[in-house]
Amino acid sequence: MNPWEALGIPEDASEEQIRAAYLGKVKEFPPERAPEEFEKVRDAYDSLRDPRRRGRLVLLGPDPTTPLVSLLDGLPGERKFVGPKPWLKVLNGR
Amino acid sequence: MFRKPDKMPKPESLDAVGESSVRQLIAQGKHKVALERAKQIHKASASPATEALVVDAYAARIRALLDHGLLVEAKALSDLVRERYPSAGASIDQLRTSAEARQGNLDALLRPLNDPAISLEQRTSIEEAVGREVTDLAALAECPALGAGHPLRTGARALHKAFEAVTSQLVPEDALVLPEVSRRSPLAPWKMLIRAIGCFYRREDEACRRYLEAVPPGSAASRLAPALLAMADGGSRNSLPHEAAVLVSGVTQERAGLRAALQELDRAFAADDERRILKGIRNAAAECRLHCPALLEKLKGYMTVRAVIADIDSDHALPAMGGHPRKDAQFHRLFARALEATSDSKHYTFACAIWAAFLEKAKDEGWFTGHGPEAAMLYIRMAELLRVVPGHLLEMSQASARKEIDDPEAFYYLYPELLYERACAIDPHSEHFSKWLEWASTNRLAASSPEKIAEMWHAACPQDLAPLLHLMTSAERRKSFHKAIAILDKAEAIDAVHPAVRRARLRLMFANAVRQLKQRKPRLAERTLLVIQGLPQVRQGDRRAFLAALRGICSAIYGSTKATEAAVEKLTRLLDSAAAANFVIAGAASACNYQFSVCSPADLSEKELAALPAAIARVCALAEDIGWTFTPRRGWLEVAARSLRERRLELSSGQLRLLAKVALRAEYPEMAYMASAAGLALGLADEARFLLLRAQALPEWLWNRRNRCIAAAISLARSAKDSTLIAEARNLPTSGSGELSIEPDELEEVRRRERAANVYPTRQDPGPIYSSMEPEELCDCPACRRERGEPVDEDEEPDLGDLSFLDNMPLPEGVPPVIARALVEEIKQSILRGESPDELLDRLGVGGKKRRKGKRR
Repeated sequence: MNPWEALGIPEDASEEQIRAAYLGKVKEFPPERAPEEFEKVRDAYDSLRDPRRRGRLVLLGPDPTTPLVSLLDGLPGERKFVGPKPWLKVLNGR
Repeated sequence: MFRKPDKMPKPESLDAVGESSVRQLIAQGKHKVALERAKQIHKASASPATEALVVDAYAARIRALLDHGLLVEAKALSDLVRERYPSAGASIDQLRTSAEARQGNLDALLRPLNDPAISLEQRTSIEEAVGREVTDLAALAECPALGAGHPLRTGARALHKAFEAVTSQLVPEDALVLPEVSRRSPLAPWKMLIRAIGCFYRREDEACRRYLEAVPPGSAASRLAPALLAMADGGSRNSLPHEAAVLVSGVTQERAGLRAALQELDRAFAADDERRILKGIRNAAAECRLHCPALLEKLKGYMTVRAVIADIDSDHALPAMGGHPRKDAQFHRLFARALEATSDSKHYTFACAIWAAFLEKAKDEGWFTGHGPEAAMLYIRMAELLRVVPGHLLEMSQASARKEIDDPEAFYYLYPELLYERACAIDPHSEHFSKWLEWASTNRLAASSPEKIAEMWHAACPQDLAPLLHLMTSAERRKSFHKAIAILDKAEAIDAVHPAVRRARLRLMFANAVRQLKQRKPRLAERTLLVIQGLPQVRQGDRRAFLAALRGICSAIYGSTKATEAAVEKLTRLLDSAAAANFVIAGAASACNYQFSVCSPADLSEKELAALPAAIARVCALAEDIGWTFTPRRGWLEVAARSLRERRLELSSGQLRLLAKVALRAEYPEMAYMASAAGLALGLADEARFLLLRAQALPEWLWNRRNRCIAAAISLARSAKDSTLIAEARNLPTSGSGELSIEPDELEEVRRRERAANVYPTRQDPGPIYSSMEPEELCDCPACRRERGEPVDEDEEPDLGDLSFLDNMPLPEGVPPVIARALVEEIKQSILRGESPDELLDRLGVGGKKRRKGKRR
């Protein structure tokens, strides 16, 4: 998994930002409550805290020959505000 | 005879069976069928019990109608039941009130709450109904049946406002505390739902899920939970009711159009159809701009890069996508990687230029600094790319760059030396130095000598063994043994048990002693030999024999015959062979520029002659061990070959391999062939190695057999995972097609026939011929291609290899046919030899004035 995505930070994040994101994620997924998620977060942080490993990942980057349609994968869906009416229709069953 | 039993089991009453089936149908949600069955039962045997069953079935049906939002139908049915079955009063009234409540008519439901004498049971029941049925918060907030300050009204007012807010804009968490609604309030599920919606829009999906879990399943608010979860998780919408699916579609954008456009563009790139690609780019950009503007810049970057690789004119591609993509670090990285992915070294210099631009952008955008490990890795990557570029292409690129600015630093990305140097200066890491040293050792463009790089490496990483080993070997090659030994001392301090370090000590000491003897400095040599004697390594194998040989030469230089004889005697004793002793001392003496011989083949006894191949193999092993090249004289090898041919010697696989190698080195392939035959007869263990030696021993004109032996050796080595042997085999020159693949059945045939071929091939008896295994080489001349039905360009020149056209040439007048035919034959030979017409005429003695030397074109 892309370690920047795992920590929810952009690729140009500084070392301080990487650390802050890691601490934030540890609070969200403490090892005793969410060990699997914590493992992923920890792996991502380990990849990014070492400048050489980070450098290697930076140079690796995304695959330019990947099918263009795959750019849509993992793209966060838009969340449009539609006002209360459509929500109330669900509540009223009509 | 059949007799009716005295006591028959009492059948279950019809009512009981019917009731149970009705209840079962209700539980299964088949309300309509349950109601029909209950009505039939009641009609058949009307009783209070059956009436109660019918009422229950009606109640279930009304509840189902309510659940489906069919409030009018539910109310009408409850009115009918109330009228027809007065006994159903309380339960039907409750359902009716629920229906009213769902329609926003809350008066009937809530009015009893104003009664101070209301029982706890009734209050609880009303509050449960509020939690279960009320969906119209505005109606509850304005309900006249309750006082303006009633907690239900104030709570509903706050919730209504918050619900409108969270569905219309981003609302921070702290604005959704809603203190008006207590934890015990029947409206508490609404509070959880509103917070969940707030979290969803703030993209706090985990918190959203937690709030939804706190919404009780039967509550009115819970009806939104499936839709909200589908939106947060991006899960399937197929199982959602229509209204929920509409909500999900409305909130989360549909990208079907963009997806289809991108798929079509992918297909267009795959088909390499320019017109289709440009149309696809135009459509994809338009769809993206409309439905996913956040993706547009990224998509433009990808489309630009792919268009460049597909060789689409940028004057057409860029307007189609609506202008240039943003040229940031991301774009440059993508572009450089795309150029790398072409696997075409011609693009690599361009890729390096793009990587250099990426570096500048990355620095500007704060990805990393220009003097960190990331930058160093980038320099190394560029340098490694340039390694693949053919030298002449790289020099051409450098020359054209110099025409613009005569400063290599400006185009540093075209100079591997500068790139390695920069990387090692920024990040003096072993890996970087290692790559630089490897490049400098093999590349003629390197300005820095490998020794200089190794010294820099050693200075930067003093604990690394590799630069010391390089410096040591380099000094050894220059015969600076003192310097090599000094470097070895340092290497031993780092890792004395490293195999290369361990082997080097004895090798260097011996080499130093040989040099000292060569310089006729026996005293110095004696001192060195004394040190060697003290080394523990010298006690292994036959190493002491070489020491004794050097001692003998030392004594001989001194002129001490007695000491020399003693040394030779010791040497003979150590090797248990006069011949082996002769080889060692003669070889060592030759290395010291000294003539020394103990015996000749004629001096050997019959027993020693029989042991001669083993003695040669033993000395070869010693020579390999101490880094000395041993090649006996041809006379000795001929005697050994005779012995090998005529006697049944019991030599090991290792000895036979050494004999074959020394024979190849001495250019005596017959003996190498003989050793390979003996080795192949030994069986499977070293079959691949012996097949390879067989290939090397074969005469050049048997190139087909030679290729087959190499292919078989590679195939066997591959099965044994012997990568060294595979590399060795691949480095051997091949002839003909050079095809080195072999089918399993062909392999078996080669193994079988080579094992049987014990005699060195001659023109008369060439041994196995594998012409059927060699792939057929199709002639590429226009005539043959035309014959095979392949396309031939009419303007194509005739094949120079096909000289049959000469036979049909008209003969010059007055030339006798015999002379003309001889002349044609001579011309054919001349063309095949590559002679110029002048050379042909000169050779035939009919040329004009002879050209002066140096003037020939």
